[in-house]
Amino acid sequence: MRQRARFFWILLSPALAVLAAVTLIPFLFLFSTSLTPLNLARPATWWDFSAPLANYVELASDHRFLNSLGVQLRLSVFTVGFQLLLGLGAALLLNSRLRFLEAVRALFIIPMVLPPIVVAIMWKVLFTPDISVLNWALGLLGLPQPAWLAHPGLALPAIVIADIWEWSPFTMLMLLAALQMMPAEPLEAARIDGAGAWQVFRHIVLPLLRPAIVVTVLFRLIESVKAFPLIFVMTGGGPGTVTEATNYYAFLQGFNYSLIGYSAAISVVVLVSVLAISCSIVSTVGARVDVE
Amino acid sequence: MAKLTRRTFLRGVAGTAALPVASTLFTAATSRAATKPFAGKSLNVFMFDHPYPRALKQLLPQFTDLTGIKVEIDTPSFIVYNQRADLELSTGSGAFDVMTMTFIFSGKWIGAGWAAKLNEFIAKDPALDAADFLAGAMAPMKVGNDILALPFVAESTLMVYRTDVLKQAGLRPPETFDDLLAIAPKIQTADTKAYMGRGLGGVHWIWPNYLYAYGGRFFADPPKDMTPLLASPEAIKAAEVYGRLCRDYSVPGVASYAEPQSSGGMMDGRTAIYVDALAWVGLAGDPAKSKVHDKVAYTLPPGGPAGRFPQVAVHGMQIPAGAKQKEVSWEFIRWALSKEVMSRIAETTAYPAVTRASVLDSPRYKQKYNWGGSDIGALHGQVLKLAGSGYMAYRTVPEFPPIGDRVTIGVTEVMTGQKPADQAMRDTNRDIEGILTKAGHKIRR
Repeated sequence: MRQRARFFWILLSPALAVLAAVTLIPFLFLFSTSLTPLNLARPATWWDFSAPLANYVELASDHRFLNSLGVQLRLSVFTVGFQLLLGLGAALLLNSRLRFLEAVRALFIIPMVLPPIVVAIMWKVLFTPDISVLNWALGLLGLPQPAWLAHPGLALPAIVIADIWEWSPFTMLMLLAALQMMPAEPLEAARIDGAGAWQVFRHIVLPLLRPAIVVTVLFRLIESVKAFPLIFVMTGGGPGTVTEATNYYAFLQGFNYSLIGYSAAISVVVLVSVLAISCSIVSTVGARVDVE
Repeated sequence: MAKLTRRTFLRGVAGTAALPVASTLFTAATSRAATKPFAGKSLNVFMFDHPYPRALKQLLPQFTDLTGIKVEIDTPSFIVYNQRADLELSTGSGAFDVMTMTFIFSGKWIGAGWAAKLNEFIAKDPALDAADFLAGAMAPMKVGNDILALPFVAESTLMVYRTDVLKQAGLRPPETFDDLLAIAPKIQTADTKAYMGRGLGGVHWIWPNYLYAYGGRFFADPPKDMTPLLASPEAIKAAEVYGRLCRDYSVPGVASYAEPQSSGGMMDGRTAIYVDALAWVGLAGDPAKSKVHDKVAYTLPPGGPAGRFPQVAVHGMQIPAGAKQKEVSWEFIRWALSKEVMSRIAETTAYPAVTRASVLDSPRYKQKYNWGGSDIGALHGQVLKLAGSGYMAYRTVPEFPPIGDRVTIGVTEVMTGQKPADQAMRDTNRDIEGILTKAGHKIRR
């Protein structure tokens, strides 16, 4: 038995070594950089560990950073929430073997396969007043034609709309796959017992979908922190800082101001936050999934 | 040699139909090209998108004919260029042989030793006539006697205005920003807004016209005393006036406008008054591009209680310290910034923001750049002279890029009504104190 275990480890070790090389080493480098004041314009700051927590202490009082966390939170909650609702609705509607619906399904996938930068440019055009088809249509209806990306109350919703459009197909695909794998017997039994459509959905479909929903939310939550191209192209973090999410702020610090150490500290905080939120979702919702 | 000269001559005549230019074009380069010492070499040139490199791209075949050097010019947008260039220079990789020395990064890049000295190349090359570059344009490219870049553009802020709109209202062009605010409601119509501003990264370029006019400053005495003064009553007043003009008297969405949108708004007749860099306001007078070219005139930007402080930005060509074939890089720079090439670009495209005195003073320049009866060359020269008094020193301190970004955020918050001017500027000043303290400056509070 021990020999067998050793044999497994020998076979596994090359894969584990590669995994460590591509994940752990960059992370360790990121973390160690975050403990330095590394500034590209000042070579002496390279590997200066004299005040290892200085970047983290500074983050606690950095108003732009704290604001960026709020922006990120709003962005993640609204995009993931709406994508889940729309994706679930679309999956329920498209859950059929009809050829027509299969064709519609293919159309729904288009936004997801477009390069993010193309999506960002497309929505920037749609939200720019001078050339916006959207504003033209609003004008025809006699409605106000706002400057979406320059309005402090509309810039973040504009990014949320673009992100929902791009990624709702992903949630739809994930949940549709789960729906199509769902056993038919419990549904038939419930209907025979007189359950209505809502009762079937609420008490049979939704609990059976829960594992897929948890995985989908986790995927989208992690991805929502990467909404960089939309912000970079559509608003540049503005107007003011209303769309300056944390990853965009980290980018500015690192690549516009050369403050790589500080940028690394922001990235570590984002990474730890995403890990913590993901673990808490798995340990609460995921645990109940296992029990059921 | 004979074949080469003939071909160059014929192409010059066919391309420009201007015999005087063609006959002198590239004479300096031709004399060196006889031996073509760098034939077969390749150069990677990295510049931000701008009318000058756009024109250079059209002339590259002639450079290759003359020298045998092949050139690739990569021109991303201004913001993207600065991000990539900053990283590229910091690594010293030598991936690019010639790069733009961006004005607001010059303090940082020169201070970090990322640009090679050009003195030796210049000393060996009398045909370049380095003394011909305008002193105001050369100043940011030098530290003491060391020359780190040569300027290809000296941007000056000017004001372009619609003569028909002002005439109809019975008004003269505004002399001060208070005047501008006062006349704005009188000239604004549903189709033509009174004023065109700029948002995004452009605020820290336009707004200083206001800041200094109202008596404000960025820093107490840069680079010696970097105490930020952006919460002063003058700075707050400047933010209020600019914010109000953009909010109430400009096109919707101006807070997200970069320079192409702003100049486009002036060219298609949607605004009556526009203050920006010469390269952008100049487009309104270009008959090939502007719908209102025959209804505009130019003058200095408005002033205020403290005077008139038009802004200047100079961008140059540098050889990165890490470049691996500096002699070949120099061969390109001496050609690209020669009197002949700069003169040709000024004459064949809308490019008044030249950096050579000989081009600025030439009769052909004066004849061409007389838009709406305004002597653009004289205005441009006047701005460069005003800026020579030293008020632009704030812009080349190494910490300016993050500070400029922070100012853009603060003023944009006022433009879009997110915060009152006093709060926005106090917050801005507080954050800038943090940036400067972190960089090791002593701040007086």
